[in-house]
Amino acid sequence: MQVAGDKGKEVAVKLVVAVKQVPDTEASIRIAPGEAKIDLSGVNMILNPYDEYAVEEALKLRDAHGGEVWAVTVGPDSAVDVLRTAIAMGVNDAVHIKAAEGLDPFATATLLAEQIKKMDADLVLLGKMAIDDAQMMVGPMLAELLGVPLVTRVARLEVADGRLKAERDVEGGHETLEAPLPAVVTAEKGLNEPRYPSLKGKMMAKKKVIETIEAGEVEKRETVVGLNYPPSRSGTKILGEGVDAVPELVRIIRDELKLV
Amino acid sequence: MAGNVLVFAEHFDSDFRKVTYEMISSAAALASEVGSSVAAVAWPGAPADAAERLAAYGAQKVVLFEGDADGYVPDAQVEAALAAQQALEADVLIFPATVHGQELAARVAARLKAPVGSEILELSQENGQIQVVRALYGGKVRATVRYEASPVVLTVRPNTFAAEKRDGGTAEVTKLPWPQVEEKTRVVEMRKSEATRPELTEADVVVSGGRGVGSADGFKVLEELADVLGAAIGASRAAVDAGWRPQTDQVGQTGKVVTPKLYIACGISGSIQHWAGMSGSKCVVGINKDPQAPIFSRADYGIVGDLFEVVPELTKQLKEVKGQS
Repeated sequence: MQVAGDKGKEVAVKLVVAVKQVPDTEASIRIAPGEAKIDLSGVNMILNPYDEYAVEEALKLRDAHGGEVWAVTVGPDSAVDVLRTAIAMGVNDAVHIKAAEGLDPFATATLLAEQIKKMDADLVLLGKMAIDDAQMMVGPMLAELLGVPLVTRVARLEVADGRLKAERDVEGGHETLEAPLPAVVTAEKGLNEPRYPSLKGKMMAKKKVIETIEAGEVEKRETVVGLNYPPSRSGTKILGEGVDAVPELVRIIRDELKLV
Repeated sequence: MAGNVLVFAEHFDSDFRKVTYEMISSAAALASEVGSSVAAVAWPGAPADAAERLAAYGAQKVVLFEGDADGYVPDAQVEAALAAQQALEADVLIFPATVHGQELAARVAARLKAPVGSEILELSQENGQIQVVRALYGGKVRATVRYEASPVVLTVRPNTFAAEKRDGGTAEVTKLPWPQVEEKTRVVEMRKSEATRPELTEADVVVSGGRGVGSADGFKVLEELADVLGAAIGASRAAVDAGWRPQTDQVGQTGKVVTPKLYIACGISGSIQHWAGMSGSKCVVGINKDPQAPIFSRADYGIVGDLFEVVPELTKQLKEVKGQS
């Protein structure tokens, strides 16, 4: 691992991005009848949008510093597709940790940590959350298991001389933080503009032989006992057209919602 | 489950964040259901009357720390949280779903090898196990999850639970030493927002603008409405990507999730992705020129019209109601 270099010199970096395959945001999510399970048949699966920012940031850092980017995913057979998407974007290589879908965050983080510990990464990047379960836990848990510094929800990132400088929004303000590498960061929307995979990239990705590791048995510590669609609202009441509708809205705000 | 319910209080600028009181109230409801106690943990730098303030909302025990801590000290907080969990034999740990709170919750959960539930909507106990409801797939589905291991780590968003003040509460105070830990990460600068508006995720009212607002300047009429309602300003992805509002204003699947009492969507079509960020609002009003806009099949109330006529009129009439005209 080469992180400490003479000030100002380009030093090659090894970057690892952990990515996840998730349903498209446009997808209709159906609950399997009579079961506490989601029916994903026919649903278009994509690279988690927040992970795209992580992949792009890794590629930018590699392009600036030299080095290589690896993508890793924990998921079922189909998850290899997001590794190919990452490779098509320009990632050098990938590892697929084959595991059942729906692992809890700690199980996922543990599997990732086991693999990433062997990879000698300078920086590990992930999206701040996966849009399917939205737990926001895997990135920080991974940092804790690797024993390295963590910055989540990064909106701006710089790496130089074995250290990172990151900016992010927090409630009530904007933080600038610093930490030594190796570290884990998670990406917020707007960190960068992810590049589209090139045609050449897609062709390469198709042919790439990707290392597959079978995850062992994972302890189950939670059960989904039920799935429901959220309670629907009772239908939109159109109050009227234009300014004529305003008095009724004012009445609702004042008398029903009691907000003024 | 007989262990304590531990709530981690977050303070900002000499007061506890509203979500702190909301978490304690929901924890108190659970604790009384299962016959255990609520303990609240306050970090160094919290208000001097922390124990009183937390007890007022139902904390029966309060953990305070001896020692000073300046600013962002997450590594020490992790150790301190673990010490508090041990000292109080807590089975449930509840953190605010803030930027810092989520990081802390995850790291503590990793150390405890605990199952987790972020941004829970409901909390109860069934068959001796902690049970929560949380949203999946951008809110399209809700999952009821039961935890089979203990302890459990949960996070809570502002405006999910109601803060309920109780009479005559005093808390038993425990003091623990503040861990001596060298922080791996340090804050170089914390630039506080100039904002005179409430934090978007904490606001009771959100006035939000989309593509229909047309420009950054167009948001001025929304700001005037927000002023009269004491509201936060939100924006759709279209408005943010167009550069009219900052990323921090974005509400939606790749933005913030908000649960205000009133969400007024101006010039917002109401896509699934936007809805994912505000479907938890108690009341949704859509104002849009296009009668076919999806917002009109999702909102509680709709006004079909030009927001540049409707919104200023709404502001004017609300000012009259408030006696400000």
